[in-house]
Amino acid sequence: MTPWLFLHEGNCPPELTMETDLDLFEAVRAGAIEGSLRVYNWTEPAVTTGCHQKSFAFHDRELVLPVLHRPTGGGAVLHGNDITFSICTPLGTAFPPGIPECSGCISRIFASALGLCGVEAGMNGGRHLFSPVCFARPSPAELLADGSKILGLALARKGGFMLAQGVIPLRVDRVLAERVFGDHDMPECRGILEMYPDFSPALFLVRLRECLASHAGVLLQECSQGDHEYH
Amino acid sequence: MNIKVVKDLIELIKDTDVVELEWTPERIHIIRRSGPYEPPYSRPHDNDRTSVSLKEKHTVTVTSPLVGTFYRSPSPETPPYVKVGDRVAKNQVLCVIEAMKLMNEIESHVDGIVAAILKQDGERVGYGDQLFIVEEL
Repeated sequence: MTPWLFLHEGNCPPELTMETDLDLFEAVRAGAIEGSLRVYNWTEPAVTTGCHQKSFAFHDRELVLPVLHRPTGGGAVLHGNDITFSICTPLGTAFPPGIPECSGCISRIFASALGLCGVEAGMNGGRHLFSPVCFARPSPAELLADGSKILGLALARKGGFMLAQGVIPLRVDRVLAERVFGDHDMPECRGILEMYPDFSPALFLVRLRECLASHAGVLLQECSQGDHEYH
Repeated sequence: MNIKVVKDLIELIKDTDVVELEWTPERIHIIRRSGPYEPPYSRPHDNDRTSVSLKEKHTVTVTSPLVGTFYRSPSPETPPYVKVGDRVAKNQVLCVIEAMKLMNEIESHVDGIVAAILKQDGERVGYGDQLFIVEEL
């Protein structure tokens, strides 16, 4: 089994979200830890944009929200009430070395964990079509449930290491989403609790731990908030 | 820029005394020298470098390993990873290519000097497209 640091932070302030992911990624690249899974929610709504997404502007020009650049690709995401996660790992250890295979493997593990929680999720497949709004359009390795995209996933590769950042919306604030993106870019976007009211995020994390062990040979080792030994 | 044009230009000046050729849509700038070649990007602190003739230079072409979008910098607000004339180390990042929501760093295969950047920031690139020419040191 490959030991990974498991960081379950609860609600995280926006300014620490990307920063902590990058700290973990650097720790993995430096060999300080073998891999990591970080899971958190947000203390307040914020938008993350893809690494090279230019000229993002709110549909409602009077709206003020934190906007953060992700180190990974893809389109803009409105965060507020969701399961946000990052995975840092060397390529070719827990996951296959190829990037498409790697992202497919991550999605299958998350789909399995969701399935054990009663959520029937499957990969979108097909070809990738970029959208400036992440949840407006699923990419091949992203997950759909009941026709709605429920897992967004973006990656960065540096040398032989990979950072994956993903999000599973729990509830979507449509009023806020419309102020951020306008109404034309958010078709069928629903949070998982809106589709599966009995879904338990806590149970999902238990199942995710089991699936990471059985599918990828990863043993998650707890690291509580504030115990950032990877620094 | 059409890569065939670049190849034709390189072929055209091969075995001539042209040591520098800068081509933009607006102009072509040519420098001819008969003596030892001193690169225009030499810096004061590069005194340890010895001048070599252009014919002795060995260049390495960095190509795209995937289809995607070529970016010269880590993000729109940051300066480019490298400029023409920069000295780069083996495994130093030269650019990123975004493909299917993946930011993929492209590294130099050799220690050298960036002699040419063959793609524009934000340009679509295909598998095997030439991105950089690096003069190996």
